[in-house]
Amino acid sequence: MFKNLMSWIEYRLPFMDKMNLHVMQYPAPKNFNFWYFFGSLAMLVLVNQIVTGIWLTMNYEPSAEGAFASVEYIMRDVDYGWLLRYMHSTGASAFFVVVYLHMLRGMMYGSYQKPRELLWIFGMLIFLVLMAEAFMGYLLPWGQMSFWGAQVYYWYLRYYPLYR
Amino acid sequence: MSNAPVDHGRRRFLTIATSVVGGVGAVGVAVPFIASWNPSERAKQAGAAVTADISKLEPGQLIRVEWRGKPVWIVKRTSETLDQLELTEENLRDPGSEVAQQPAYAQNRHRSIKPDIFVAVGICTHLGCSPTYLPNDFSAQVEGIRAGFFCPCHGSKFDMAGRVFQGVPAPTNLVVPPHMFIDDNTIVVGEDEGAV
Repeated sequence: MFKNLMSWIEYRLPFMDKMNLHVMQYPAPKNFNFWYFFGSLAMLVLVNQIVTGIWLTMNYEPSAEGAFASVEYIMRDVDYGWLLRYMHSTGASAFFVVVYLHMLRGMMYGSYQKPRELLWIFGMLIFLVLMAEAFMGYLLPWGQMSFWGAQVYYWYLRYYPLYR
Repeated sequence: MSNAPVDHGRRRFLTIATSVVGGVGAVGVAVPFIASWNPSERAKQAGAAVTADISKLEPGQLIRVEWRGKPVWIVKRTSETLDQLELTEENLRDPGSEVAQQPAYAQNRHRSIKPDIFVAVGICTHLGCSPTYLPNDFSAQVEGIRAGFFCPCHGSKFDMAGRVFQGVPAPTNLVVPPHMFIDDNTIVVGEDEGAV
């Protein structure tokens, strides 16, 4: 009965087929070592950032006046709010750790060589997006660190011709 | 890679073991996410019971305390006021307090724990104005009754037990919040430790 139902669904929505094709039975060289973990770990941290980020927005107030107080509120008054915020802020740092190790692997093993030049370029573009996104997150509590961090970036960008 | 045949029993065991461990982990991770939806400490504080000192409450005097953002009256009724409660019961909508606008321990003629101390949420059950306490001039509203509550918005009238008179817009008696006495001079509004 259950098997019939599953095969009925599988026929119309080939989920297990795709899982086997791309994840569970994905052909991989047998000489993979732990350096190859960090790509999927980066995806795990990304999911962590998205989910904890959504939960933090439930109590965060996005205004210059209320932001810092709402972060204090999350840390002190919301049940497990401190844990969610630390998961988010430590997760942001972990994202960079994991991504740097991922890049180091790419350099060590020449993963950027022909025909994978574009893969490396795309990775670098994603890395830029990650840095921008992390900076935006750094601004959200809007305390002293956020303010002066924003100030430094602002002064820095003023010396680029496009921004003048 | 060895070409040994697949050991299906072993593979099955490992699949199930991995799924179980992963499932336990997922449940564990879900705990803080779901627990964060509980009322925060700020929300609990906003809904917390309030304590009032009634040692200086004179007979006939009304004081207000704020509970959950609402005005709560604490009135010390005179014995004359208490005697007048039974005079006009046939003109009341719900003299026996059948509608559950009060905890069970306040379902009596004086709608309170102690006969003289009356506690009620000072919000008209019609549209939410706060009725005016008329300690001496209520007879202009209901003949022969000296004290009562009169709502200036739409003219609802309540006796000194917060019971609504007939022929006014308010449908029910005033709400008596859960409350209890810690000692003779201290009253807690919003908490009765499950008293019935």
